Amino acid sequence: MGDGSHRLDTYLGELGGALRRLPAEQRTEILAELRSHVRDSAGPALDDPAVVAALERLGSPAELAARYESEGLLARAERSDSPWLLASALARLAAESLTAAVALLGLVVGYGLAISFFLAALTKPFAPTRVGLWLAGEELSLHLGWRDGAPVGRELLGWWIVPLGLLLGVAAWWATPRLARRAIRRSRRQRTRTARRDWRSGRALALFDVAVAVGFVVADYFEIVPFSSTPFFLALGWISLRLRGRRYRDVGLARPKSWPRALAIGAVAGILLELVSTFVTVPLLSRLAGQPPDLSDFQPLVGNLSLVLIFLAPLWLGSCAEEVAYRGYLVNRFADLAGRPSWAWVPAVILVGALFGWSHGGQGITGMVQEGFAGLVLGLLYLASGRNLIVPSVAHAAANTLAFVLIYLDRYPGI
Amino acid sequence: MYRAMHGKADAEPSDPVARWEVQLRKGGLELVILASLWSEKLYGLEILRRLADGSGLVVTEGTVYPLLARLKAEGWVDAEWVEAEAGHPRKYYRLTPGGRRHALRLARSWSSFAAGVDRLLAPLRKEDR
Repeated sequence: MGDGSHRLDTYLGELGGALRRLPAEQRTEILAELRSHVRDSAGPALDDPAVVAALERLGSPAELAARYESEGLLARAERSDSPWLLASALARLAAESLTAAVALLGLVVGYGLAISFFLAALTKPFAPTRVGLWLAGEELSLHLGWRDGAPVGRELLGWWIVPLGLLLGVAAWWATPRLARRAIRRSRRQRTRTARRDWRSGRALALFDVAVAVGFVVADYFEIVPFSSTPFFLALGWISLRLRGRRYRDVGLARPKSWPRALAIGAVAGILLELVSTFVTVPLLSRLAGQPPDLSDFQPLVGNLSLVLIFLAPLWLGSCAEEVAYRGYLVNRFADLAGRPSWAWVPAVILVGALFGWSHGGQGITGMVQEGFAGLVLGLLYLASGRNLIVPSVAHAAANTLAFVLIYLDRYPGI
Repeated sequence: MYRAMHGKADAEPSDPVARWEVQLRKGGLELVILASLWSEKLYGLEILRRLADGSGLVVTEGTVYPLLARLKAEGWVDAEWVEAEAGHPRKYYRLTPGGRRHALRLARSWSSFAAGVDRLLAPLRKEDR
């Protein structure tokens, strides 16, 4: 008995966690109903095998939660008049749909307008000289009496502002939730449509994205781009994901199946990558190209512990940002060009690796080839981890950290 | 673990007929749930059993409960907790007046659809015999 009831508790605990975005009241109700269901279908003794069977039919907590969420919250918001519920549904959808993002803004503006119309109508009787619509020169201005003294110019509406303000306020109050609900319905349909239409539709857009990205790397090579092209790729990727109704997890920015595993594999891979680079490929390339990589930018770090420590956090952040931009965004866009068949991923990783190397033009030809090789390895790590960005990000950060340590110890070739 | 076990049951069937049946059932599920509540209030497990006994429709719990939550949110059904002799309360669902009208509309549209499909299938059936 103990086992079965413990298993049930664990399951419901996980489900409750996965349902945390639903209102608490709804969540408690769901958990209570499922507890009652399992007790009925597994029998009052809660034998472990019977509980296992009952839970199996319900599906994993994550799957079940996803079904509840897509059926429950949004359906309620579609019929609701509550500004709060509408806003939270729109905020959820705004991550995937431009319509919803615009509608969320419209919701705020709409209620804001309604409130200011009401305020104008209701405060006119108390401050007739300070509330009203004035024509000052060419400009219309609505005053609500926060300012001292009457505004200059000619008053247009007089006492008519009371009924007119009430009317407009009611109209805005009436129209705003209706427009929001329509937007929710539209973006929900959009979402299911884009999910079905899938990645194939937007090849022209993919070509455009890739062209812009290559343009940035070229511009960066000629030092026209301020700072680095990575922030621009991130911005471009963000816009592109939103326009296409994609989520971060569609490009691999998601929790790995197991954190300890991802961290361990990432750290080991990163350290190996850096060791191979420093002691094998860089000396080899330097010999071939006749010049070592130009790492003069890093010269100040040698023997300077406080500078190394100061730059560690930005270094890690930058490593992750580069992974999101290159592996997360660009690799996916190159694969989109071919319609995302399974054969396209390795060529995409190779091309993006080349682009990654090119973007390190500041380090000379040896540095560029070396970084291209590193980019290729990180790309293969991305593919090997089931297109999850955590492993390559950890590897990238680990490799850079080791490089920093080697530079600090003055053991890095080329400095 | 649940994922592994559930994955087997819920995976997209490879047989084209089975895949088509999954799609077909999904659309009808809302109607048969409303229909099962036509004459009395039922709790979740009873609804599931009724669907399995009465129609041979094999429906998983993981589909029915979220759907019930939506039907309630849409106002087609009402729910109340009833203390049962089993020792724990059960959540009973019943049709609201609006839900009855909704169910009738769905049933009508289902019947006309089924009749239309039946007519079109007549030549196939002759062949089959």
